[in-house]
Amino acid sequence: MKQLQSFVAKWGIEFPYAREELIESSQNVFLASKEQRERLTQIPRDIFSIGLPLGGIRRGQFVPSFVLLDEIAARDVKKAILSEKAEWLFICGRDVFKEGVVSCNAFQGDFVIIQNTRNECLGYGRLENGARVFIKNLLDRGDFLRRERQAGRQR
Amino acid sequence: MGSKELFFQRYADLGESPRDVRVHQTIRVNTLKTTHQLLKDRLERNNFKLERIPWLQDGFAVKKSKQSIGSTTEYLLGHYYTQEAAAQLPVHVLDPKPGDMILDMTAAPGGKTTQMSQLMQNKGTIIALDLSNRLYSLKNNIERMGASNVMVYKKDARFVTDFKLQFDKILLDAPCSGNFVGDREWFEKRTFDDMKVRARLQKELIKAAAKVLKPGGILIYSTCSLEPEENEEVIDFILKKDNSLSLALIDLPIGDHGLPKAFGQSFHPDMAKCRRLWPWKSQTQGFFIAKVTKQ
Repeated sequence: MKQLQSFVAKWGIEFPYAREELIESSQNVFLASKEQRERLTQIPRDIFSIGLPLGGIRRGQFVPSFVLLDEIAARDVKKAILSEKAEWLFICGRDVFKEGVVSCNAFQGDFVIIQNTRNECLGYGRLENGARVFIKNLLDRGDFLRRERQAGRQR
Repeated sequence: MGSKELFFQRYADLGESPRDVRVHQTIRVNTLKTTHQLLKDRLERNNFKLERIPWLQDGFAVKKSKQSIGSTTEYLLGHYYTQEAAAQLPVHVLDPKPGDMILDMTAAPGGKTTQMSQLMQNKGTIIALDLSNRLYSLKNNIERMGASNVMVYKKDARFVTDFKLQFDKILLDAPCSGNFVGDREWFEKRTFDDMKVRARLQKELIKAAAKVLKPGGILIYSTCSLEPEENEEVIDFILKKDNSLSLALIDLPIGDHGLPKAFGQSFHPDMAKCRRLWPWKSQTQGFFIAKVTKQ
């Protein structure tokens, strides 16, 4: 929970959820409705997933869900809009070069929400402004495919 | 006689003329996040050709593609789920409504679970159970598709009575021996003993489902198996065991009736109310669907 709060704080916005809406289970935090929370008390068993995931601990680090990133992206935060070509490279896990950025309101060191030209959130990164890499990819939606591949290997 | 010939002979003995079938990939549009037209326009701009499947609410066949339909930006944004056409039918027959309390007995990886959330407009509750490692896929798909009304438990659905809950609607898309469409090695992998093992498990699962179904509730039993032992025989078993249960007619514009008898065994006289999709007739995967109601 603390990691979730400090992740949101990085974006300079108010924490968007009430404490009672959040359920923790196996190092994950979920956003649950009132109906689900009431139901939870009727079932005497550990829950695997409830409502929408907001993030969890992976290899010792907090990893936000795309539900949380969408919520942050809906606020007035630092954003970078990518070109169509850069969009796909970013989703494939690549960092972003300057020529792939259509617009950006961030400064060096800032966390930025990465969006495509349709304003859809593709992930997030940190503005580096280095010789080649402009934005370091910290999480992209291709993660869904990578998670699937990993789960497939474990089966 | 090879395994393929043996299985095809069984289908011929049931009055069919089996043959190999190739089916198009199909998707289900996630109307929680987009519309049919918006998605069609976006994908067609990227050189996909989509065609509406007339007997499905949100299903499209992918007629042409230059890249994998399972790795586009739209897929990763949760605008659609790659779900075989016949596999979209059981949820339509269940007809989930906003506010329903639904049990999804063997839910992973979540194609039908997220389809139910979509039709419920995320209102009401789905209790989703599974035991397999595919629970992680279910969690990913819930996140990707924005299905917010699901509670997932790692639990053997045969023991769902432990929860002391009753459900308006139950989906039992049972683990089954599958069918040969889309799996070239299916005939080599499958034996008749597999079917018997599966059928035992299916009977235990449907027995548990019947116990937690509310009076007036609906239970959908489905498999993607073509074998009567995993379908009509399981339904016949539960109807004989619990006389508060009966079969309701499934009115679909595709598929055949359930079998009244198979291999010398006669089934419940209402079995024709069930639906069977034979791949060589429907141009889909094989599927069986039964709609069971409780007095």
